[in-house]
Amino acid sequence: MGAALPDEIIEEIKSKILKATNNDQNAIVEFDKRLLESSEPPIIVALNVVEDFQGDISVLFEGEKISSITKEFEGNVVGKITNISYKEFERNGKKHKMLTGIMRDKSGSIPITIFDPPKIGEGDIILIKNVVGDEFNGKIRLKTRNNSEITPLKRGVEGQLELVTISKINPDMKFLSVEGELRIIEKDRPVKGEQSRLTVGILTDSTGTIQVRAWDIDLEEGLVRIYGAYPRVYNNKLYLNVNKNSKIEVLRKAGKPENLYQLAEVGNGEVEVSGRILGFITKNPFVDVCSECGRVVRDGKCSIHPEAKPTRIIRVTAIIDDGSSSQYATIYQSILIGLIGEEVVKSSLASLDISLVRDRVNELALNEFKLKVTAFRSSRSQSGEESRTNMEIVELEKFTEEDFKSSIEKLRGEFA
Amino acid sequence: MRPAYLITGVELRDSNPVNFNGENLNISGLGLLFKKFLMVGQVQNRMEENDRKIIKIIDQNNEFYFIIGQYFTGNPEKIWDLQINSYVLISATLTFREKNSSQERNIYAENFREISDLELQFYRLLGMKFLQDRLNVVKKVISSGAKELNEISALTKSNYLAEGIYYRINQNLGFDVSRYEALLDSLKLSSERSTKDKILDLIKSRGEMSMDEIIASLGNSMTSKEIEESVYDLLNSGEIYESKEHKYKYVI
Repeated sequence: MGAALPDEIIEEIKSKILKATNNDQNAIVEFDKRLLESSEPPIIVALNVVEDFQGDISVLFEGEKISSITKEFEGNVVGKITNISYKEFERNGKKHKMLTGIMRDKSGSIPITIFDPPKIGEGDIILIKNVVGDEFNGKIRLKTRNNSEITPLKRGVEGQLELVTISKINPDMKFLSVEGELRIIEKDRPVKGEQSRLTVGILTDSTGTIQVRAWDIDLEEGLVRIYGAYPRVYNNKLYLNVNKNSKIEVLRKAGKPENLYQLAEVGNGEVEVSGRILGFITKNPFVDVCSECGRVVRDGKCSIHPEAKPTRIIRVTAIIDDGSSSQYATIYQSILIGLIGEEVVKSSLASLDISLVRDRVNELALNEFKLKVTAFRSSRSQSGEESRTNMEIVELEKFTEEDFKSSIEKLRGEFA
Repeated sequence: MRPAYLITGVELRDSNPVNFNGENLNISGLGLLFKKFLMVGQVQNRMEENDRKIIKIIDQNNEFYFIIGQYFTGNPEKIWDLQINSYVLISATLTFREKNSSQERNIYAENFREISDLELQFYRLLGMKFLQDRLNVVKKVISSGAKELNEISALTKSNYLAEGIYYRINQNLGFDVSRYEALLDSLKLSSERSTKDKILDLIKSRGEMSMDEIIASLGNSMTSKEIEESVYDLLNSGEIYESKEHKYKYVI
């Protein structure tokens, strides 16, 4: 319930509501009802009622109608502020902030400049006392002075949590809030001779997708909520514009790679997948590694541990495939032993004959495995070769009967 | 690298050659760009013709001849170990070449492996899931109106999947979604039917069986849950009845 005020003040507010709504008695009934339920001040309750009844809020706050403002004007104005942008400037060695935007009421709109503004967001309804008219390039505008007083009355789009779904977005909407999975498709493209930079993404929710064009702000992939986006149509295509005045909340950052394709794209990290080994490559299987750090040594010496004695090991390459991508992945000796047994590996090492290992691994081709794969991006080589993603199988386990059964149940569940 | 997609015989049969960014590939009716693929099928025959070893495989009434040639990585002689009517998982490469002003299509096997009943079920279901995922992705792209490759890629979450869809859209080839939806439905039905047919055949051959006996007999090729559900479906459809408590008989 609203704070208790003397009856005469409430009556005064009511008379202003009537004036603002062209004597609509239903607005008074609604005001009385909301006053009982609301915890907001009566004047804000009145503001909401006048807005809902399509009334004139400038009447409620005894402000000047925006359409009547001249360059000689001096007084109070109330309205919704939109198209906000900020600039910083220095005067007498002191930094100042300047807000420019458009102020609107029922009668019209006017550009406004507010010096050193309080926190104002897109779509906020504000009351400005002691604001003055001005003329710039032949157009009337409003500007604040040192004695101007700015009171935000109602938060705009940034403060509103009501979300629209993507399928409901239409070009007639002004500012909206929307939530979805965002994927960036182009980052920081210079536009207008590099005055602006544009980042483009695709936002998806359960109802559809829409392109998001972010001007001079960063986008981050993942589940995001965007406040204060505005739809635009370009080339018959609907998209959402987002700028510095919009607010983007990252609810969940883009997850870690889920499959081999994503792992290859990211270039580093780890992924656990089910997949098959399509085949093996057993060329150059014998390598010398440092007995201290396990790194492959060149010219018989580890560059970090030159004193350590190199050890010869076997490694093979598997072509792994999880349905999203095929990748070459190295299988080092310890994992290889788990796959085909120590005896075969030792015997191959002793004779430096890979045929034993090759025959055994080839028997495993086209089998299903649970794989843990790591990836790292190699640095650009001295010969100028581009860096590439290297993958290594760090865990591998052949599917058992139980694995097949549980996978079958899971798959059947998806079709149920 | 592009994956070796697990595809159905229908998708393989309907694929056409395309050159995408200088790469000779094949494109399916749902915009799957591929060269290598995986398929499960039943061995109809293996033979040697003009010094070429060939395996004849059937999948959903579609017959394919897999050549054991330049792409094969295993021992070619192992084709003779394949049992007729057994099921295999086979990896292969589909190639096209101009011959006498027509296109000759060849399927070269890379490797194959005979698979168990359980694996057959798994790969059949996995193939259906991939088909369903592809259908969903295509429908999503169509409904979004996306036409640019990067937009499609954002929806498919994979350039590999996006490229083929982009190609079909830009070449005005369209997508016969309803045809592939019908294919998916028929695969689902045949998958359910094959489980029930196995149970029916078993009950017929034994005369009368309990649930435990059915599970013990078929547990190697299907899950207990699947057997139980199929038995109840057969009971409900009147194809079997409960002759005594927990004993099931075939309705003659």
